[in-house]
Amino acid sequence: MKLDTVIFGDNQFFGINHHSEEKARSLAERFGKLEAITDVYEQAWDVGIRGFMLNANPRADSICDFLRANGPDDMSLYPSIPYPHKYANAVNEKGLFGAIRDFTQDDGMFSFAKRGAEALLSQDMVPVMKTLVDLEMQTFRDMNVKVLFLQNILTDLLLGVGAEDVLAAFGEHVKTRWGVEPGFLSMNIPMAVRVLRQSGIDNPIVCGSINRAGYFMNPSVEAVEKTLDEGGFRPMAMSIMASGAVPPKEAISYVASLPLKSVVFGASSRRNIEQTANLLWEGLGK
Amino acid sequence: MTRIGFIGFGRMGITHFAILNSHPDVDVVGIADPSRPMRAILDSHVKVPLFSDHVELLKKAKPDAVIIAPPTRFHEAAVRDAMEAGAHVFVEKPLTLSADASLGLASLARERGLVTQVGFVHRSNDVFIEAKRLLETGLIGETRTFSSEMYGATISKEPSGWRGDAKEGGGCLYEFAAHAIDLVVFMLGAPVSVGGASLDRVFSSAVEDLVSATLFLPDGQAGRLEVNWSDGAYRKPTNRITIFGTHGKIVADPYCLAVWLRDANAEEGLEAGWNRKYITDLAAPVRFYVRGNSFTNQLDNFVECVQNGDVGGTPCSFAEAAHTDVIIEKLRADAESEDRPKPRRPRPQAKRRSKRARVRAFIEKLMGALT
Repeated sequence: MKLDTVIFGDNQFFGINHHSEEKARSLAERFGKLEAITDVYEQAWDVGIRGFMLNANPRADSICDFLRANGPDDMSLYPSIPYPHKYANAVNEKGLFGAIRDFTQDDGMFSFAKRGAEALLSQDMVPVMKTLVDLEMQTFRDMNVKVLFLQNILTDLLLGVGAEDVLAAFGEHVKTRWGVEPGFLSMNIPMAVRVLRQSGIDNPIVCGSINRAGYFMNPSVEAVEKTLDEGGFRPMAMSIMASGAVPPKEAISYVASLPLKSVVFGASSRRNIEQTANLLWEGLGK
Repeated sequence: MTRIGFIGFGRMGITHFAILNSHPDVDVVGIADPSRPMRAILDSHVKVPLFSDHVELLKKAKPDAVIIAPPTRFHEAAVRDAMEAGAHVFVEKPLTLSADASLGLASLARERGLVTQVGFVHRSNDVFIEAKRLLETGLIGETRTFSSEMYGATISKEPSGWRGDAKEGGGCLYEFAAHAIDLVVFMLGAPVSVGGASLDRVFSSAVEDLVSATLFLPDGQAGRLEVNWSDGAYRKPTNRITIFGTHGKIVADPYCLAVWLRDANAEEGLEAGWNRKYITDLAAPVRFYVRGNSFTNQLDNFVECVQNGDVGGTPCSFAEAAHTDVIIEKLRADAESEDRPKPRRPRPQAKRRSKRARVRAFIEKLMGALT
């Protein structure tokens, strides 16, 4: 399987900006209506982008409905699950166990309720993880999902806690139940690569911040670059412009100098989408 | 190796555990949590001794230091027991639910010579640290007024569990306003009195959802506190502090520092008018990242202080954190003063539950009984 060189991300649609609260707010305002989002997707198709990363947030259902109905046939999806704030808010209101109960019972999905109950009673994270994957995959049904990513908050928590078995179980379940490649978003690329490979995930797909500013490149720029040089995994770069701290040309010449073939980026104007995508294809190959 | 124990293993406990479990100089010697299902889950995935209560952990695991993060109502006893066992303490914010209790713990820590830290995480945020540094250089002259705000969408309906109960540490004052007050203490020093406090409700029937007040500093300077934990316009909780001085103004949130100056400042390389610094320029990578650089920085800082016996080196000692608990009590007292109109109560909503909701409530009840 070949990862798309250029993958169009969705952070910009949801008021996510690591640079400024103000910018985040104005983005959230602009993309309040679904139409504003779908317009941008149409522009990305026009430019020739076929890979799309989409987080399973509360608006993903309506975006996916649009993509199913209107997207090009050769489009590939790289969803990431779960949406952290959805669960964080539920945990805030109901506590950890209440939240698990809640989500496994949502929408009257009795099978999920039953499985959620069983998962809880087994007091094992693995069945909880599997139920979570199946529940979130409902959003992306009948779509060409190439890689299913685990959000960095979960990947990194599990890495830190030392529950590699749960990470491995995610990989295994995504592959066998859904026939999809598992991917891992992480803010700790070197550690993620080391642990995932140790737990038996061969050539894992790991996506994390890689940018000239060194922003979110933990534990250090040198360590991330060394991990990239050593290989043994399929890297995908995100935050290449560090939310605007690095200008596009500089950002892309940096990632093009590294051994990686796939980049996720977000933009909200036709001009920026076109410019960035073309620079990426030029630098990394199509 | 520093031997660290964990007391209370909810959302914050897990975060702190992930950060310290990956620390090269830390040995996690035990986790205490009363929840049997939580311990069972931990047992199958984590190789750490588990205890049902903190006294047992302190006695058997003999940690050098503990990370305490149960619901706030349990802080006081756990912190006291830990200090009496000679352990250094990191505890989640706020320190306790009573000013007297917090002041008492601060003096116990002083007597015992222990390292203490309260998880006011913004003090470890690189933007707020830079804002404080600039402020202390006298960049904006003498400060005259300020405002500290925090908004978020934590509550969108009547909160259940401890969040809806002030005796458990729930409510906007403890959960949100504590952060906004602590930022004032951090940047400008402790306010000495409060006025015009109002605590109002949006969704909650037993706790406040809105906090609004004036805070007074010792020099008579007055500033505003505006906090709302039920504001759906915010994707995630957001703090902002604005400080106005005779030569300029500083506006800081966790991502961006904006400085307006009457005159350019060559030493800092800042122009007259607006200047901006972003977290992307200010933050250095961290050893291990989960949830944000500041969470790692605050705990690494704590461990370093424990290792060096640096009692005064943490970003927020008990004595420092107790200021916030004192202010919270003053805000409650001021808001309840007799001449103040009583805050509106939420209108009772007609309970018409769908069949699905009834089935769900039943399953939830059943699950509650089973777990």
